[in-house]
Amino acid sequence: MLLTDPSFINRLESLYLLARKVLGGSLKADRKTTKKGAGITFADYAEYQLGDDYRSIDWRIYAKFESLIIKLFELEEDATIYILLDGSHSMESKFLHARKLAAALGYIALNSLDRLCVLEMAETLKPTLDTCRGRGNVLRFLRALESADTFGNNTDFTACAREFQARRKQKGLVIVVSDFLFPGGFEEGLNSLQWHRHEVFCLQVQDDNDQKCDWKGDVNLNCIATGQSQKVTISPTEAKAYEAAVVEWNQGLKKFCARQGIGLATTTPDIPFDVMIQEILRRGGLVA
Amino acid sequence: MNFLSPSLLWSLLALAPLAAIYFLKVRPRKRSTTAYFLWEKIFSEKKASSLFNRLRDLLSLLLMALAFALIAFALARPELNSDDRKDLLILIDQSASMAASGPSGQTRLETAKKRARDLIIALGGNQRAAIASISRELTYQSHFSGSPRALTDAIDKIQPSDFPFDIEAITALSSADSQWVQDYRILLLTDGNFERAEQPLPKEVEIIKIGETIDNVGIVAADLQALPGKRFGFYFRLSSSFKKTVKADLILKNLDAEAGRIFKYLPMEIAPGENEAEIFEIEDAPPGRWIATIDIDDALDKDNVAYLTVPEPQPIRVAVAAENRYFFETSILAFEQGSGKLKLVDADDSPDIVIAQNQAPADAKNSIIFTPSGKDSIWWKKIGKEVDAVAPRILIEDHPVLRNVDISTVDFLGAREIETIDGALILVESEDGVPLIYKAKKGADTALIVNLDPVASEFYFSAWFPALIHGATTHLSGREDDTAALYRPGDQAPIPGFSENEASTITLPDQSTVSIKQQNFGPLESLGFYQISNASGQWPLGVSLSTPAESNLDNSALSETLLPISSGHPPAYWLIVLAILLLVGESILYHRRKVG
Repeated sequence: MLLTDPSFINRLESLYLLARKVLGGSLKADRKTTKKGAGITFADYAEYQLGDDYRSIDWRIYAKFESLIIKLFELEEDATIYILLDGSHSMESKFLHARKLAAALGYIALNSLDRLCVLEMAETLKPTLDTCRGRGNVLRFLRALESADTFGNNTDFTACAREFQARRKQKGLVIVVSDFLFPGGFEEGLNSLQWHRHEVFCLQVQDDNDQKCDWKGDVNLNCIATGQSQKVTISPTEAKAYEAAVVEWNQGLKKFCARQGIGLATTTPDIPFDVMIQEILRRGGLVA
Repeated sequence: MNFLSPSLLWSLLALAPLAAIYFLKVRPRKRSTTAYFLWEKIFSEKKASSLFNRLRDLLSLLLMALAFALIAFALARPELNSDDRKDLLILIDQSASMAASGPSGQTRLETAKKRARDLIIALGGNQRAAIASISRELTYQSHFSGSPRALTDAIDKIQPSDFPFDIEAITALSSADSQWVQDYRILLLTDGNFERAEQPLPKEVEIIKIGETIDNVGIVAADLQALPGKRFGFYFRLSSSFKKTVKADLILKNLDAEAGRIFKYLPMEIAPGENEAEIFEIEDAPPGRWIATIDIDDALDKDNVAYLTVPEPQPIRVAVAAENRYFFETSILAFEQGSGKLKLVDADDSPDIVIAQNQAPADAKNSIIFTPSGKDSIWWKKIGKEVDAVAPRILIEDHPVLRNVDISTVDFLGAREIETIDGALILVESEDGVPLIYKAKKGADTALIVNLDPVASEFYFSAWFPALIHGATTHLSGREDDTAALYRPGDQAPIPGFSENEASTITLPDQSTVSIKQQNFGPLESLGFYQISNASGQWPLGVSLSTPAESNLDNSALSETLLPISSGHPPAYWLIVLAILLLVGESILYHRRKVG
């Protein structure tokens, strides 16, 4: 299926409409953030500090309690959505599915007048779509995704995160679409993104080949990303050990995300991308 | 070691392509993974087995090559001895002693059959064998065949017999045709318990010795005879193959009286070898079936029992219908008081035999007619004048009537010219052809005509007179041979009271019955009691092993004369088995390569 296919775009449009319904109100530059500021929606009270806008002081409270309390309002701003799409060779079998997911998220973002930037990552970052905004960039965005291809060797997520920070100073929501089977680990990269005040959401895409081992006997094991190989004998014991290692790895990701307040959704190519996006939206959007 | 098909050793050259094919076969399949780093972690923890994994392919190849080499050697059919591979005639001794159990609990016959099966298993491709059992006679159980199954079935059919081993059976075989010696090997599987000293086995027969000397005691001779005054005399002899004197009890009991009453219980000490005969008398002994048993735990049970019989007295009832009765009656009374075999009765008391002069009574069934005279008789056609100077000529030697009579010393004075009826059997005639003693038969009636005048020839005073009376009465009544106290397997037993017109029923030890019209019954095959029933009465028979050679199970003198021969599974078989084991081992390795 082409990402610019009208039927595919129709499915994206349906998702956008659903997003509007689920998230409520206008999505136009009103994406809620955790930052408090000068919006119009009441968020909380806070004690007055020197430098605060005195217009925010709640004088009725002052009249009652003689203390200066200010009203906080949600900050409304144009959000920047960064999609970091794992483009290493290890994603080959799931790459189309990953791109569909990225397309859906990006489509909703562009229609919500958010800024969107798409980057492919392997050993380094490769820009797929420079930062853009508005419905007019949808087709450009989809074409860019459609022409994206896997590259490089293993994904060095830590290096990619550092490079991303160096290139993109604007804070925003970073959606990492990957299998997260990074030989160098995912912790440092995610920490790095959070350190630089990005909101991070992980969308893990794995298929049966990642999670299961059906091979038995003598096998010339070949790394799909680096081309490394070794002759091994896989018995049921080794197969079980591998499957347990993958489960442990994924559990590690899950625990890490929960601990760090990072949103995580896991999917496989067997689940249609729009079903997955609906699930994410119904869970409350791309928040932890 | 030599090879029957050495050319097949060239097949070892196929090892080279086999190795090449093998290495192609063991190339592992290429599998790509996205989580190579996880696999690396798993296999870094299993480095201990990596050396084995590296050597496994080499080991696997070595196993394959070795298995192939073993198969090639097996095809070449190696031989460990110099068997000339002639066809085999395998004779299995099934005589009574082969039923003896050895220390392992296996009988000698079972051991012999096992050895025979081993010989069958070892038969070469073109080699044949025939199976025969031998005891009293040689019985072929199979034709010459190369089929192991047919031969094994033939071996399985062989059962122990109660006959002793008769060496004549095998002697006749080897001397029948000298071609045997050249074309076949005759193998006799035997325990050697036969009378070898009298007639050694032919040297062409190769002996395979079965079993060793085992401890056994047997009754090798026994007799039981009625003595005057309701007493029996019991005679017996024991033989022992124990190495030292053993104690055992002899029990003698009668099966027909008082529910198997024991008449004698005799503790004995039995010396090694053949013991002295012992005799004792039994008071108030009833006739019937008797069993003598040696109560001892030994190798062979069947020789611990002797089956003996003393029939009920059933005298031949004889009447005299002659003017001069005295001498006839005196003779009969003498036998009545002696053996009790004859009994004098009145002529109107349904006698078995009537002794008459001149003419037999009309109602007499069996008659002895002295001084035949008168024209009207069913026993002769015509009687003429008296003949002079008669010199008797015996036509049938050893006829039962004449068996105890020296007829040449009898003067046949008063003999007359006589024309016998058709079918008469002339036993004695004059030189001129005048019948002097003849036996005639008319329907169911028989008569013995003695053509002389006992007074004129002074035959009453001759010692041969009572002998002729006894011989004639027992013969005409079919009682010239009464049953013995004990028979051995293979013996022929007489049928007391035999009559050509009436069948006798024989009840065998297994209670089955046969009907015969013969004067003798046999060979007696089974140990135990037989029962003969006919018009003359009931006659028990006892058949016992009673053979010294079958009871004395000391075969230390027998030595095996077997020439080199292949036995059991050939080396090729074991090579194939080993090759299969190696291939199984290799398959396990291969399976591990395939499925881990």
